[in-house]
Amino acid sequence: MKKLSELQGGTTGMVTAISGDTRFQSRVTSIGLTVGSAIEVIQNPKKRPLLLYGRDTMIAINRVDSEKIMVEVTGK
Amino acid sequence: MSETTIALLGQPNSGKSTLFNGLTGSRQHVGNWPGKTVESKRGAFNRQGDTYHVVDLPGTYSLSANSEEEIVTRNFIAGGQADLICILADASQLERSLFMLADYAGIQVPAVLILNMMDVCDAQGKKIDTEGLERELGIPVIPMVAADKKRYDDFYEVLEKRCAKASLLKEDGLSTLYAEELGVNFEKVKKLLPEKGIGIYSVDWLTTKLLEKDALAISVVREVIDTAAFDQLQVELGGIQDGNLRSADCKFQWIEKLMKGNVVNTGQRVKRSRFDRAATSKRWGKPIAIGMIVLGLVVSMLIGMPLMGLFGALISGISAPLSSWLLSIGTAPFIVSLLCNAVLTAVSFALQMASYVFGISLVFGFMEDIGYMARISYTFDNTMAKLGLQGKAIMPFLVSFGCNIGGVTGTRVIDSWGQRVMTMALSWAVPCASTWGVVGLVSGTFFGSQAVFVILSLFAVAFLHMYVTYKIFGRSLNKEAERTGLIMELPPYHKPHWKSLFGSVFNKMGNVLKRALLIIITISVVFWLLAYTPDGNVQSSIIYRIGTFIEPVTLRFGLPWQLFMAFAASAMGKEAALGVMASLFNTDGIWSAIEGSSVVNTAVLSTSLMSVVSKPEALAFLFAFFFNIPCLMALSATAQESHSMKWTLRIAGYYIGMALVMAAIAYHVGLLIF
Repeated sequence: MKKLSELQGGTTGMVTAISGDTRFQSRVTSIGLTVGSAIEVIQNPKKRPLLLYGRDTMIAINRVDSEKIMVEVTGK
Repeated sequence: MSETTIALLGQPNSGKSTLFNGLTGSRQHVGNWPGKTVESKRGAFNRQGDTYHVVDLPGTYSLSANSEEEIVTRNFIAGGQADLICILADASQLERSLFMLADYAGIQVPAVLILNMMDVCDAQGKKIDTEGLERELGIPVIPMVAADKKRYDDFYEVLEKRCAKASLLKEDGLSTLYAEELGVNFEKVKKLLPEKGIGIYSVDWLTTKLLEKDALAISVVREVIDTAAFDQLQVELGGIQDGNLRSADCKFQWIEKLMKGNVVNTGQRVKRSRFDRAATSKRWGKPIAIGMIVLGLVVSMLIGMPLMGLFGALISGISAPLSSWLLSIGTAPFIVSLLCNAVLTAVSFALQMASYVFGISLVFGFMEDIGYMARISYTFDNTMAKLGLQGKAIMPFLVSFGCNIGGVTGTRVIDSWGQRVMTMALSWAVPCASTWGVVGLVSGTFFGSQAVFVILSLFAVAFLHMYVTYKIFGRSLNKEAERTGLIMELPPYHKPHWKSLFGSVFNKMGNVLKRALLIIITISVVFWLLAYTPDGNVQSSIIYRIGTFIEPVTLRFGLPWQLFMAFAASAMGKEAALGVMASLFNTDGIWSAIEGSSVVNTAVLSTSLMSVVSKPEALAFLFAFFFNIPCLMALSATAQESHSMKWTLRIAGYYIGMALVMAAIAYHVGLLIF
């Protein structure tokens, strides 16, 4: 299990846990990142928000928040 | 003849506003939700003799009561005023955007599902079986392109039938999932609640929201069940971990099942284009964005300038014949002057402002419409984070270099109210095109080749000013705990919808114009009254008496009374400062100078300025002017967009105060240097 913020571009995986407060969790899940959902990291440049695919959608998520999302890596 | 109220519900960017504009056209009323800083948009349309009232609910990602927008939405639906809720989903990103539908399931108000952006969805090679969806959901499902009014027929047809028989969204599929996934806990909580739910909320819906620790749901339940049961409820809820995460998972499982049976994806996943790779890359993202924005500003000037010139010429063309005609029929000269000078000038100011807004909204609306704006936000997120803001705040800042009004209206895309107002407050410090005009002239006149240092120091202080503003207002306006970092979807690129784009641009321009006319006319008349003299001699005007009376005070800020009046007038519009200076230093009529600000003879002005004003005073004026509030129009736009007069005035007061403080500092520094 790794933090989402640590994953390189091209990595695929499954979300296993989301920490943070209720408001944050509600925000992230409502955009489609739920526990058990499949994601693919598109790019993860330093000091920039992360780009990923999840549920049909390209999503940008900032670095601080992406540390709160844990992912089980399934492929590269 | 019947009256029906429908409400539009959907996530941001689902096309709610487009549909709202398409349905109601110009029959709309924009205001505030009572006691809230959330925009309320209502409108109406007629269809075969029946009247439909349309309420555009605030764009929210879910129905959880975490933000003011969400609370407004929930309370409106619970209030039972709507006969039909239209839930919008983006068909091109269907799985994600059906979340609102899943979150709605269990609310017993009739609903329809609108699948917007079918054109993009078709191009992606997706086939959606709407009849299959209708069977499973129990409500009408309407494919649509909200930007294309010709394709509203299906929707109208459903509306007409709906009045006779309303249907509720089926929630049994979701209930089964809740029971399976959340198990005993779910049942325990559910047993404590009234079997039939409360009001419009079904018992399953309430149970889920309680598991999600939703404050509004807790208070609804507390009012209905007895204390013992409520205490028991608290105990049960305390024992549940991650209720919100698990219920969200259920909702998406339900959506996945729904999609599996009814959506066929024949195309491959859309590959990212080379342009998109570049637009989001670390190296090219920013240069491309800046290039696009500069291009956008240039194009919006090209669109706005001819209009501005046209309006300006038109009004001054009317002014002279009108005044001679009024005089010929025996109207008092005082009234003629008031009408032809103050009021007509105000009208031309307002029209010119509206042209500016027209150009800017069109160009940036276009960038939003095709999906590029989200990439700009992404690219600048790390830069904006330094001011406690997120990437979406970059657009208003850059647009402000052209016009602060455009910048303020551009803050609409930002999620939280606090961050929105914070962005407006900070964007005021960005110098607009007119500011540069005056700064260029005055600094060039007094400091010659050294002007470049003056301008650099203005820039440096502007950054400092923004940082101080952020520190001062950040604590109350943009609390650390309430900040939201950038979490956004980047929509697929698509072709622009010109008709609907122009429709919304004209709408926006109309709103700006209405407000502008009201405010500018009022202020112009006041200023005109102060400056009016029957003989045209400035020394007998009220403004002269006031100016010279307060001069001992203004001199402390390094401002002789004429410069102080120019500073005061620049709050009306930055260009007005030039007009006032021209008149006060030439002792001609003052108002004629404000009115003719575009044709101020700068050469004459320069020489007369040099002979009266010292260098430190000029420096003081530049700082006062640069950091003054942008203009009345920006002020009124801020009041309109923030929905808070209190905060608008607070920010304005802060800016004026800071401008004077900086003038004083600049003056004393200037005394040391020159």
